[in-house]
Amino acid sequence: MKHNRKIMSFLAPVTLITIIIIIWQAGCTLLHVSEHILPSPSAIAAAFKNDFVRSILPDALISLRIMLSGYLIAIPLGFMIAALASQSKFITRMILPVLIILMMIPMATLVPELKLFLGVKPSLKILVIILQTAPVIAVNSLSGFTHVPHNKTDLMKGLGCGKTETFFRVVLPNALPQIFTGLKLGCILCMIAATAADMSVGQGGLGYRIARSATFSATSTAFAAIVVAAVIGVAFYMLVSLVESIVIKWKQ
Amino acid sequence: MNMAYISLNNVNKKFLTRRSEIYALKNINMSFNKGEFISLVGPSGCGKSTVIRLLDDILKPTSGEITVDGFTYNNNVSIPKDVIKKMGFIFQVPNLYPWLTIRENLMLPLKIYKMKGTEYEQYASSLLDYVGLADYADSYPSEISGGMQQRIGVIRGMIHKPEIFMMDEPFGALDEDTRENLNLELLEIWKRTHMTIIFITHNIEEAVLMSERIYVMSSHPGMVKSELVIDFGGRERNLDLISDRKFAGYCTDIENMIGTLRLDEIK
Repeated sequence: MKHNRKIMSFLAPVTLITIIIIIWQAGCTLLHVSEHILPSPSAIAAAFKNDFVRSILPDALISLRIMLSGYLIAIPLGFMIAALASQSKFITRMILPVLIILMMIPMATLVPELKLFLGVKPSLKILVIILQTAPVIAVNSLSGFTHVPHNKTDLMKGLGCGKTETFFRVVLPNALPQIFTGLKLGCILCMIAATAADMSVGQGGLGYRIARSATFSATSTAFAAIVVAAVIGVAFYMLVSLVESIVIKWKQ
Repeated sequence: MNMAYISLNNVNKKFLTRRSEIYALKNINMSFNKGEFISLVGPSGCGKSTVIRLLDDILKPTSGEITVDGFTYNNNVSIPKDVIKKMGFIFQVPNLYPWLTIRENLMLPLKIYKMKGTEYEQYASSLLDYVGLADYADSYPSEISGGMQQRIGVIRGMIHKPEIFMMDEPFGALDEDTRENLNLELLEIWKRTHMTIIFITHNIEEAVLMSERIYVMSSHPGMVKSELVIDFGGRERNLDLISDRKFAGYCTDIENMIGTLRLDEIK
């Protein structure tokens, strides 16, 4: 029973994707769409075969390194902001709107401005990713830290526990589901910010490969790079979800 | 002077709401002797839950003092762990932590009070057996029913063998049969352990059946209206008492008292 459900949850999306690919391929072939306008799946596959090792893989590795660096800095930074902001209602009210504004700004649009201060360096892209992901991690963790049901903290008070003990025994575990929501949103934004930053900063990366291929009408290579970006994004998200299911055992 | 085991002296508690200040408790003076079974009854909003929340240091009194076993605390002074350890508290709702297993929830007070050893492990297992939930020890609260959760909430309150047991309408959400059984079990536990029990209920029969003394409270502001000694001439406390003429008398007295309280409110 359980095994069947697992197969189903795998088969269902795969079926839909297969159907889309078939229609796409058939449409391109039957309507004689130019490969430069919309490449067919088979053309994308051919481009992938040709260019993967030569150009896409090195760029993917650059993107991956930058994303991970940014994300791994954004996590503790986001937590620290949330922990600090949760100390008093006044600070929470002060910081929260700023965090939400930061979360809404597409940080890659600030690249020209940031370039003026920092020059063109790989660290510029990491900065863009941090600016984009830290606020969403902070906002979600903060909301987890500040929304603890009264009964749950009352029990701690009734057992004579102080603030620190209550934080580690109740506030933190209670916030974990929301913290993970932030971490998952963070990894989505991280991919988007990295690709966008590549496009405006240059210096390699999947976004750079996509923009450059499109400029030279190598549309199928651009699509192959997009597919790789999507696969990395999904894998990244699934990894965080896996960690979540290990940490949050009580929620099936 | 014979000092009471637990006493509240001129305790006031005000709550600030958005619009005004509410007097939850006004000039409360109560005392509880060691080993006594006492109930607090009264209309909703009379602050009976607030009384035990103050005793357990979950809330701070606005003014006044509370003394438990010789230790006095108030607005500024909190109870140290070795004093608060003497108390067990049972909430209206199970209040289990969803991230802990049933056993971990049960053992939480022991962990906090650093009470370790096989003696306690065995006690936990025997309590789980007693409430018939030994098979669920490693489940999470979300995997068991509300009634089962409440039973765990009750035994969690007594896992560290407190001398004072405070219960805030603990069986209110359960069905009549289960409620009656648990009440009888509670009486058994009380007879066996000689704990001081402070029981909050809106069920008058329940209060009369179990208590040696009852405080009747009125609302807006919460005050002590009356104090009744329930005496069945040394008869054993069990369901047979319900047919006793005195039992009906006590119930009617209290009902009338609460009834007039409600009438006062309407006026």
